Amino acid sequence: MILLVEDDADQRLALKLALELAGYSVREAAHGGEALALQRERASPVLITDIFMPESDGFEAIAAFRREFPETKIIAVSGGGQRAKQDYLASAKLMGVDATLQKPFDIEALLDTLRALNAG
Amino acid sequence: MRLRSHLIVLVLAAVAPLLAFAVFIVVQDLKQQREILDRGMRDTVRALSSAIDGEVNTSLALLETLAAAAALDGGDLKTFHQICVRAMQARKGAYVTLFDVSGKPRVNSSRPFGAALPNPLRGTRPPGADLRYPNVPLGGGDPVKQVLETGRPVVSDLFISLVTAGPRIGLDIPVVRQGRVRYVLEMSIDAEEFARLLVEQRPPADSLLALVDRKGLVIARNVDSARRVGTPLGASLAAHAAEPEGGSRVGRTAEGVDVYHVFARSRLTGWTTSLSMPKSDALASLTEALALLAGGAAIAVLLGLLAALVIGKRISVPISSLAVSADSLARGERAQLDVSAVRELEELHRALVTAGMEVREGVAERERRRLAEAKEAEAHAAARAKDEFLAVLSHELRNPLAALSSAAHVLKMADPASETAVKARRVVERQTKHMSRLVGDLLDVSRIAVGKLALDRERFDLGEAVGRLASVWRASGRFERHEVSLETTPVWVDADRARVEQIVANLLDNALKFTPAGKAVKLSVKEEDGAAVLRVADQGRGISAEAAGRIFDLFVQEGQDGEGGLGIGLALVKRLAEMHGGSVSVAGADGGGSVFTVRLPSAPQPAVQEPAGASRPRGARSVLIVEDNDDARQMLAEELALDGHEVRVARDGSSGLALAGEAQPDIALIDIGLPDMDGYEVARRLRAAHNGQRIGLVALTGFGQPDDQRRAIDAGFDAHIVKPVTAERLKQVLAELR
Repeated sequence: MILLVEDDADQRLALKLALELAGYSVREAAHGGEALALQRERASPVLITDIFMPESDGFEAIAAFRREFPETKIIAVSGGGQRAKQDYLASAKLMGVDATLQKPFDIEALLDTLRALNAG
Repeated sequence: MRLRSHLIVLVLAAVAPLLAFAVFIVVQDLKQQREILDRGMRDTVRALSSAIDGEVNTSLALLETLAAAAALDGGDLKTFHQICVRAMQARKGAYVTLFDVSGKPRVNSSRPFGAALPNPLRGTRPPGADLRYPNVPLGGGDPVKQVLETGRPVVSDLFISLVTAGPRIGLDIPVVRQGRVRYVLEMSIDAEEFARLLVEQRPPADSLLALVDRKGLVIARNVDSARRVGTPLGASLAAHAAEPEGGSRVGRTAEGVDVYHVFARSRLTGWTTSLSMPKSDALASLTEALALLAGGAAIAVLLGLLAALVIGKRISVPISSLAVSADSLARGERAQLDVSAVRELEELHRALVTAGMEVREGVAERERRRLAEAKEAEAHAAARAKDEFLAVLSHELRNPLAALSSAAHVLKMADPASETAVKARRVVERQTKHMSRLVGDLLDVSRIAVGKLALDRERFDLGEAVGRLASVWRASGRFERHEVSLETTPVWVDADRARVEQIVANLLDNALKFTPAGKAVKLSVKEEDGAAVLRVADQGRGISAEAAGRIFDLFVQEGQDGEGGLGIGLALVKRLAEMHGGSVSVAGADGGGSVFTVRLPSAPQPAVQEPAGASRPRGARSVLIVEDNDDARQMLAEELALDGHEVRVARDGSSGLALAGEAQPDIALIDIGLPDMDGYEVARRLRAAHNGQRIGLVALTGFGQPDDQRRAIDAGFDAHIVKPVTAERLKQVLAELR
C-alpha cells in the first residue's frame, strides 16, 4: 500500500495508474495535510510525496511523517526548485527521506526504488 | 540697474556735495568781495564829493573876500575890477562877474573894465537853444535872480555861458551894504575845471567818475568829459542817483557798459558825485574763480563718469564672464578662466572654475558610479529573473513531463481498451495541451519581443467572444471549483480574435488559479468611453501596489515559488493588449482580490448585422452530458462547447434526469456505467418522460461489443459511441441525429 501525495491531478492520476499496473495499491492525497490524515487512519508503509505543493508543502509532510511514523519509507519527488539556496531534493535528503527522484522520472526507476526499499 | 550706472551714481554722489560746497564758498566770497568793493567805492565817492565841496568852499570863500572889498562900498567898480583880475589870476578857467540888482554885469574879471557884457537876466534862454548842449539852459540868469530874491548864496546847475559860450557853473553870493543887496558877485567856473579836479583825485583805474548837477546833467567826468558834459547819466544810473544815498547798485552807463554804481550827494552844492566800476573789472577775479570752479567741477564730473564707465566695464566684463562660467557650469560644461582686472573677481572666478570642475567631476563620477551600480543591479536582477525563470520553466516543463512519462508507462503496460488506458490517454491529451499552451505562450512572447507577431484583425463582438469562451470553460468543468459569473454587453472590436481569446484565457486562468475554491470570479465586458473594457475580478489574496507595477513584467510571478506558473501569462496579456492599441491594468478589489482591466479600442458595429443567434454556429444544439468520470465529462463538454453547442453536464443518472427535465436538451450523451443507475435506465426514463421522443440519445460505452450496441438500441438510444470518444466520431453522431 502506497500513499501518494501530489497536488497536480494528472500527475497523481498517471502515477497512480502506473503503480496500480505494477501491482501496488495506492491511496491519493492532494496535499500533506490530507496525507497525514489518511496515514493516521491507516498507516501505509511507503509515502511518495511531491515537495512543492501550495497548501501544505512536502517538507511539512516529511517532517510530520518522520515524527509520527518513523517506520514509513519516504520517497520525495520534485520537479526542481530551491529552498534556502539548496535544492529541494537535497534538503529532503537532509530531512531523512529514504530516496529522492527528480521529475520526470522513469516509472521503472521508481519501481526499482520501491523494490530496493523492500516496501509496499 | 547695471553696475556702470551704480558707479555713475557713486561718482555723482561724491562730486555733488563738493560742488555744492564750492558753489556756496564762491557765493559767500562773491558777497564778501562785493561788500568790500561796495565799501571801497562808497568811500571813494564820498572822498571825491568832499574834494569838490572843498573846491566850491574855497571859491565861495574867495567870493566872500572879494564881496567884502572896500571898493564896493563906494561903487568904485574900476578898482574892484582890478582887485578881481588880480584875485583870479591864479584860477584857470574861472572868472568873477559883478551884477547890479538889475542883472546887468558891471565887472567881469575876464574882460577889460567897461567892456560890453550880456545881461543874463535878459539873455537867458531855455535848454535847446544851443544845439551842442540841448539839455543845458543858455545863460546863467537863474542863480543871479535867486540871489537877488533870497539874499543868500547860490550854487548853480550847469548852464551855457553867454560870455564864453561854454558849459559852466556859477557860484553866486550877494554883496550886501547897509543891509541891502547892492550887487550879486558870481564866480563862473568852466565845467572843464571840475573834470580836471576829478582826474586829480586819482579815481580807481577803469572807474567812471561823474559830477552831476541837481537836474541830473553831467557837469564833469574823469573820462571824455568834453563830449559828455550836459548829458544825463545812463537811465539806470540816473534812477539810482535819484534815490537817497545808499549802497552800490548794478547799472548801465550811457555808453552801455555794465557797472557797479555808487554815488554821494553834496549838501553844499546839491550835486551828485557818481562812481561807476565796470562789472567785468570789479568782479573779474570772481568770475574767473567761478569759471575755474565750474570748469573744474565739470571736468571732475566728466573724468569721474569716464572713470566709472571704464572701471565699470573692467568690473562688469569679468562679472559677466563669471555669469557665463556659472551658466556653463550649470549646463555641466567646462568653465572658461578669464583674467580679470579686479583681483577679488579673478579669485572668485578661479574659485568658481575650480569648484565647477570639481562639481563636474563629482557629478560625472557619481553619475558613472550610479550608472555602473544601476547597470550592475539591472544585470543582477536580469540574471536573477533569468535564473528564476529557468528554474520555473524547468519546473513547469518537468511537471507535465512527469505526468506524460507516467502515462506513457501506463499505456505501454495496460490493455489499450481498458479504463486505465483511457485515463492515461486523457492525461496525455491534457498534459500535451497544457504543454503546447506553455510553449505557445513562450513562442508568442519571443515573437512579440522580436516584433514578429502579426495580428489577424477582424470585426467581432468582444462580449460574445468572452461569453463563448466562458461557456466552453464552463462546459469543460474548469469553473467547477468557483462561482464564475458573466456579465457582457455587445462591444465591437477590430482585433485578432485568437489573440483576444488568449488574453481572456490567460486572465481567467490566472483568476481561477489564485481564487480559493468556492469563491467568486467575475467576468464582465462593457463599453466605457469608446473603449471595450474587459474586467476579470478574482477573490484571491489581492495584489500590493508595489507588485501591481511589475506584475506585467516578463517572468515576474507573484506569490510563492512555482505557484504563479511561468510568469509569462500576464506579460503576454499586456503585450497583446498593447499591440491592439489597448492597455491592461490591475487594481485591488473591494473585499480582497484583484481586478484586471483590459481596454481595447472599440470599433463601430458592422453595417450589416448578422442575424441574431449567428454567434451560435449552424447546427448548434443543446447537449446534456451525463458522465461520472470527471476527465471524460470535461473533455466532451469542452469539445462540444468549442463547436458552439450549448452544454450542460451531470455526474449521475438522477441529476441528469432532473437537468433534462429542466433544460429540455436536444441531445443527451449518457455514460452507461453511472454510479446510481446505469445508462440504459436513464435512457428508458428519458424516453418515458414528456417530450421524450424528441430527444436524441447517445450511449457512451467502454466496450464496443455488438451486444452492447443492441442493448443500447433496446433501451431507446439513437446512437452509440465507444470510448475514448474522438471528436470526429462525436461530430459524425451529432450530424446523424440532426
